Amino acid sequence: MGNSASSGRGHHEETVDLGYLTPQGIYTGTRDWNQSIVAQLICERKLAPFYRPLEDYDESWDDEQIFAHRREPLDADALQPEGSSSRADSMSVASRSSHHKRGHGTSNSRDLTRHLDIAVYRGAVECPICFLYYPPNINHSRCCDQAICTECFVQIKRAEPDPKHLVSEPASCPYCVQENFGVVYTPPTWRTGLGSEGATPPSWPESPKQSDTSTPMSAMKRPRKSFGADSPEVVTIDQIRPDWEAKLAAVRAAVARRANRRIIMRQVGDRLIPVGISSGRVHALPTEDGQIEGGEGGTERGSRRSRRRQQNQDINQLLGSMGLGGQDLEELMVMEALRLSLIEHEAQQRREREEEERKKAQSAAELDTNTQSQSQNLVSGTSSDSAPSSTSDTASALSTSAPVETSQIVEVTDPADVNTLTPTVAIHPLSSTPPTTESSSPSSDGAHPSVESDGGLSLDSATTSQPDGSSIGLSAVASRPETPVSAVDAPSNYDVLLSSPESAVSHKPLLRSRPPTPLADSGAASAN
Amino acid sequence: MSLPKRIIKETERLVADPAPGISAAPHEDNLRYFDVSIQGPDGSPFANGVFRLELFLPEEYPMSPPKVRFLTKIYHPNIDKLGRICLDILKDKWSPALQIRTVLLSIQALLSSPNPDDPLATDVAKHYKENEKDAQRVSREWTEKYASA
Repeated sequence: MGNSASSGRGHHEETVDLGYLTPQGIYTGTRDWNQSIVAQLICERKLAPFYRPLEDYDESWDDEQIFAHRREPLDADALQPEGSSSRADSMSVASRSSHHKRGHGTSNSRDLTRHLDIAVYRGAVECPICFLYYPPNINHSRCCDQAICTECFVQIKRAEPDPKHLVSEPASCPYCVQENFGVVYTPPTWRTGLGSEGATPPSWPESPKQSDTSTPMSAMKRPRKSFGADSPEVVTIDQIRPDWEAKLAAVRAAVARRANRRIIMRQVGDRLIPVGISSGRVHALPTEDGQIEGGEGGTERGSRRSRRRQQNQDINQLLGSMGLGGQDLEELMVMEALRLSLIEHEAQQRREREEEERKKAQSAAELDTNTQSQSQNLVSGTSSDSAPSSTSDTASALSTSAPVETSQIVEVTDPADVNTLTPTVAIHPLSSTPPTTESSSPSSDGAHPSVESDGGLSLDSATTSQPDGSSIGLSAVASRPETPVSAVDAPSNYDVLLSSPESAVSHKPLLRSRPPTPLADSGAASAN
Repeated sequence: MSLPKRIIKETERLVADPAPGISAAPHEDNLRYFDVSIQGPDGSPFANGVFRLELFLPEEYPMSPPKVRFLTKIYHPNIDKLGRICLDILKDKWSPALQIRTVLLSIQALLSSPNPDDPLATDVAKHYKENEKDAQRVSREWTEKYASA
């Protein structure tokens, strides 16, 4: 390709106009831009090459002084016996091919190329961001014509999308804050290195001494007008990170998934214990809401639930920040199994309900006893009746009965089940209810009044008195979401405190009243 | 990890040509950590006070903003009990073209013009909104009590 490459030395340094295709180590972070695009843009002379910067510069300096202030080569280069001389070699090839084919000894030629190598720094420009000096053919911001070296340019990017900010604003100009930062590059009038074949041959000055006054750069003209972000000569930060949209979409998808995901709680005594995480891929369907809650105080419960959904999102973010987010696949597989078992159970319940309705229609007089046997059916049904009776039935259950909601079911107090994450035990409110509960239905009537005082604790009694066990279970959860949420939420608040000085937690003690600010909410909440 | 040239140069320039009413000097054992003092601007309730701050340049600086905090207690709607400062350029409006000097000048300007509509210390902000005169009196008291040179 280029002259230096064609020198046949297997040289790793590919250069464009005496600069490099890769960064020279000013920034140490990960190179998260698309390096091949950047290299391509440099070869096309749309972006300044990565020059080794000068740490200082003064117009009055001679070559030696400039050379002395040039930044040390990267470690990779330093491994070579003498980085600078090998570089001079490659340059000498370039210059020999153009001008000094004869009559010049190698040392002369080297001197010249080294001189040229230094000459590019004449009139060096300080990059206002890294404070280092670069050859005057430096990039300029498209909007306000301020210099910026390529090294700094590739560092500027959109803010990483995070679950709290699901938009990705294009990076603005560091100088004038105009949106859609981009640069314009005017290459020198000469070319060397990659992409110089067939181009105007470099018009090196005949004598090194003369070049002090007429540098190759002197003919350069800087852009003075501003360019639109979509001008062909502009390189934007999005161009060198073409994956920004995919990244944003990925974060959005993850958030959407987590928003749907629930932590499945199990009630033990008066506590709720998380036993698993529902798969976020199950999309909540609104149908079940009305069906379940239509009976009593549905609207109020609904609003509570949506709030809980938000809080769960926080929990999931917390889990994500704890590294649990990375286990997505494994977790999803487990949760999928869990979900399928739920669906099966739902279908089962449906069948039972339908059957019950049919029986109801058959004889209203036998209702009392039927309810009793109904419960029995439910208990035994999971194991026996759940055989693939009709696939369409299952399918319809899948689409209508919103398994997400059932994942919320709080189980009857049964310590034996608590630590199990397995699908079978998981969320079958009836199968895990001891049959004894059914037989003691007279006592459950007596327990019924206690629902109010317990805040929905007496699930077992409710289960027997109501055929639709899941709805009761759900209402039990809805009536006491605070317990688990606040417990898990607390560290998340703390995290916010650490990262954001805006958190009001710190001056909570000072908070005498609640000013109408967003901060007041969290402050007051934690004050309570 | 050697100190980036930019930080060295900024430090040199801060020392050589300090901004009026502002001084910043790096710690000997950590050149990314600066002891800062800012004089309360004349005409503000913080006048005649000298406020001490700490400033830290994170590894990502200048691509990330410096971390700045008041060490001297101050009664200001945008500065909380812990000295944390609510200033956009220290957060999402940071630009790598800003510098330690410009940050400190911005903080000094914040002392001259509190912004109770974007509060960090909500109670102070409320005070400032409801009774600015009285709030300024408290600010002056605190300045005298905690920030007298």
